[in-house]
Amino acid sequence: MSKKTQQTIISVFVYSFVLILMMEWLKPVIELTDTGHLNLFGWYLVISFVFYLLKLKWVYVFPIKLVYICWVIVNIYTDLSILSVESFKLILEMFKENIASLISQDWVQVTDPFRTFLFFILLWMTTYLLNYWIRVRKNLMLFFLFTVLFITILDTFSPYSGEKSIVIVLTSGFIILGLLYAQKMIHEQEGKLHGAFLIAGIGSLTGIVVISSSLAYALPKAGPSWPDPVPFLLSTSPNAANGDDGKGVRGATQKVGYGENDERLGGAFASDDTPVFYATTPTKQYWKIETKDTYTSKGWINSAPETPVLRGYELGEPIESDIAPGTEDESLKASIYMSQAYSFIMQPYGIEQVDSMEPIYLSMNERNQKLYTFNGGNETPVGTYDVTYNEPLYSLKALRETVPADLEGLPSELDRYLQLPETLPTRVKDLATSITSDSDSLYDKAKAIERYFRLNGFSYNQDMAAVPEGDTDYVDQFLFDTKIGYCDNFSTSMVVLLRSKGIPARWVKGFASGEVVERENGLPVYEVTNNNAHSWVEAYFPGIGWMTFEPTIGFTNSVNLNYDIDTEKDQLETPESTPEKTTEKPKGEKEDKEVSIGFSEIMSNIAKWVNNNKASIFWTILGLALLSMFAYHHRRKWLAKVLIPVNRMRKNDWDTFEKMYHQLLKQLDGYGMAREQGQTLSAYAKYVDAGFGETHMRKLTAAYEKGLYGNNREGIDYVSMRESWENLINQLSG
Amino acid sequence: MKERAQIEAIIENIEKVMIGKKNIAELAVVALLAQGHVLLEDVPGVGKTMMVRALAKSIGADFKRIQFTPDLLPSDVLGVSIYNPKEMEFEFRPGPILGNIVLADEINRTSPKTQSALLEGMEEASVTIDGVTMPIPKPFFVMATQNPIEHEGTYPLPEAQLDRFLLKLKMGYPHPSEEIEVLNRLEHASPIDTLVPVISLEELIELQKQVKQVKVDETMKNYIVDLSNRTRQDTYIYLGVSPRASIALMRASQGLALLNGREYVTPDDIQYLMPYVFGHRVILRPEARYDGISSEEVLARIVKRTPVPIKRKVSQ
Repeated sequence: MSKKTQQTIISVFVYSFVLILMMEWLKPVIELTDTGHLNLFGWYLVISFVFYLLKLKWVYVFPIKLVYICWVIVNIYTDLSILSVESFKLILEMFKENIASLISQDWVQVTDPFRTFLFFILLWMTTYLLNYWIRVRKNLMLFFLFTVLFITILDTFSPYSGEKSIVIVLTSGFIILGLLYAQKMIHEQEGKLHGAFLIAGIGSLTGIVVISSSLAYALPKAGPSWPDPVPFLLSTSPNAANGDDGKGVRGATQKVGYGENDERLGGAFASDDTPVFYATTPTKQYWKIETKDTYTSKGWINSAPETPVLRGYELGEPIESDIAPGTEDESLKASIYMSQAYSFIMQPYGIEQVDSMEPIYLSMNERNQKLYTFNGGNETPVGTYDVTYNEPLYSLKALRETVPADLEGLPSELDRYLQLPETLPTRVKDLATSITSDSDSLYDKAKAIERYFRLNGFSYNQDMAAVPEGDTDYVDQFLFDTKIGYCDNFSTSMVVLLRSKGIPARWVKGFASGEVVERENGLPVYEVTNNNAHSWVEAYFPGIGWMTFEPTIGFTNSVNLNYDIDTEKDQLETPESTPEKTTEKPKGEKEDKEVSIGFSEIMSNIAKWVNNNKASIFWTILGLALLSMFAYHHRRKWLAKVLIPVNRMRKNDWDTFEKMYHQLLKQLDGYGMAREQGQTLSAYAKYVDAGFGETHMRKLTAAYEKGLYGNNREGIDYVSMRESWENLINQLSG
Repeated sequence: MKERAQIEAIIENIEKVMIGKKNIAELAVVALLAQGHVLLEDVPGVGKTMMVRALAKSIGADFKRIQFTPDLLPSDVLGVSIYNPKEMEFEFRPGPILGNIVLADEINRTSPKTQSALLEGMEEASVTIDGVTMPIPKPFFVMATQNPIEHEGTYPLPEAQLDRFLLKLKMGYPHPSEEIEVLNRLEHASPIDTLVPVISLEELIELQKQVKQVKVDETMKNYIVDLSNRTRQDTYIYLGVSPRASIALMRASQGLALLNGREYVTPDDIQYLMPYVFGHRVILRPEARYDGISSEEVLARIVKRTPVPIKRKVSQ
């Protein structure tokens, strides 16, 4: 058995065990992200490692892997054969569209097949890196360590159970380390190892690892000396701090999606990506279902109308909504394909008419703007329909001209949009006043409230939203205590704040725009799932009408605004001569004030944050301390990476050379090649070079001695010295 | 490097007759270059005379040999004035010391009186006879040999006298294969007769001047002094080396640097020469002998413990 064969045999083992390690990475990823097709990814890894083992040239590897990836994509997402022209077109189309999305940073638009493709690329890079570690560095410690960390962290913090996985990882990890060491030994050896020695070595190594692992597994183990950190970490979160009575703050987890009952808001949501409908539409928009007008301090109900005020429409008949469609642009058409049976229409803003092949008629409940579908007197779910719409257009100038005085002559049918529960704490109203006091127009006041959440430390979270207990007001709790929640918290709070300032507002339910999953005739097809269920705000401005607002952090719903550019420009160009001057000036003051408030607020926020997060800060500091200890301990590994670029910036002269030479001596000392105090530099250089089998150290030392003892610093080729120096430093850190 | 080529030519010439003793030949040349003298301590018949003769032939120098015996008189070394009846005056007959290369064989076999006559001449580079001082022609190089002290019938050289020798060398027996090679070469002829001079005396004197131009950095002077000082403090050493030893070490190091084609002295030169320069200049305490430690071992330990200067002092 030649030395090469021995190496190959060990390599086969190493790659097999690395494959096992990689699979342990893949399993939780696939499981936790609901990806599926573990076997297809697994085979990909097998192919990759076999190629690396055979040391095939990339010209063979590249096309084979690419074909495999394409085959997997076609196989998973379509029923086509990989050899068909359609599948080829499909792949090309996928690249064209998604690369465009990537370039425009429109991550949401990236389709699932392309994500799969990207995941394959990631695996490709990972296997490449592993191959490098195995072949060149012959050291897989880092990967092994991270695998263990990865599994343990997932096991602790996610539903994934790594019990079996950790045993597999540790066993194969240790075997890999041992095998790589053996390979290193053979590599460094002049001759080859005796065949029997090799077999005995690998055998005993595997034996030791397996025996010790199983022994460790079988031995009785003490329970954890520390409690599970997860509940502890959760208990330090600000959400729990508000638990006024300390019991069951979080309600039972609900399933996200559209529901009729909103009487009791709050509590965690489990995500649910079941599609609700598909919309083929030229514009990205929200889908409104209904509005609610009465806030109960726990949730939303509709003010009880004795009989619903229904108004029927035939298909194709213009629908009268209290939000008028825009008129400037051409109307657009959205085709809806429902995946779930709902007997109402998903309305885009500016709805004009609904068409469908199905025998239905429509009925608008004017109390809540819900558009029901009927057939023969019964509510009937509709499968596919087209909605014609024209996005409403608002004039910014007109919006800016709305003043609080306009609110006085509001028609009485809007009264229900000003309702507030009597139990609403006054601090909510005070907050509304302080938020809006600097704005003049009603529109700016609404915008100030919409902005407020983004600027004041609120955060979006589906799992941490609190359920108000006892007398606690839902909005008050969110605004002042928890500051964490999802769309319902934000939208309800904004409605309440608007109403506190006398601006009519209502709570809107529906769906957010969803994700583009494919394209049809050049139009994007949005998939809207239960996860996209959403709520937002409509506010009423006298003379303008209803307009949408989006207070929820992380969501955007652009309103079609006419910026009335000419007027604006005039104002900007001649601020002194226009009557707007008076309004301009306070604006400047306002900004100053905001800055100063901002600073003191930041300071107090920091103090508050420190107070609230004592435990987290402690753990962070502890973590950092451990990290720096680790970094110090392994400084030799990374210091070289720092030394090389730092020294590259220095001049090529004697002083630098002298410094670099002494740095090198230090690094060598750390490496275990210490110079004895009575050892001359040239003797030491011989010793070092013998260790590395090169002549760099002698070259450097000769030049250094000449400069130091001979005081002859001319003619030193600093560039070549630097090369040798970097070479040595790299070897030391390797 | 003209100097280096010349020096190498000398050593190569010596190597034609001396087999496997390159380091000794080199050290002898170093002493010659540094204008010092060499004391060879070894048993008879290992090639001491052969080496000196080869060295003398290589530089085309006048070679004199004095065989020291217990009844040798100073005048036998220095020379004597004899009355010339024809000229009606005393005429000086120069002794063997008035040569370029002098081999003083078995120097410890003669009386201290005769020994000191030689050593004075070595130190002063001149001889005074009957009130007349005569300079010894340059270059002047004495290679004295002595039998190991343990041999009977010897007069050990006093320490003060030993200080006059730059280096003390030991030849040692050749390796069997080298010894066979010696026999091979001498089977039919004597290679010493075929040697021709490779440099002239003038060139040698020029080389000796060159040696003094070799740079000895401050750090190296510090290192030499540090080593000397440590011999004075070592627990095994009764008497450490004198400042003259420091000078000798520096000079020899300069010679070695030149031999190695370098114009500056490195710690390697100093470390290499230190046992040869200091070896005969230290007197060990009796404890060392009880512990079975030789002066070489003591000196090696000092070298090992003395930090080599590898950085210019910041204060400079």
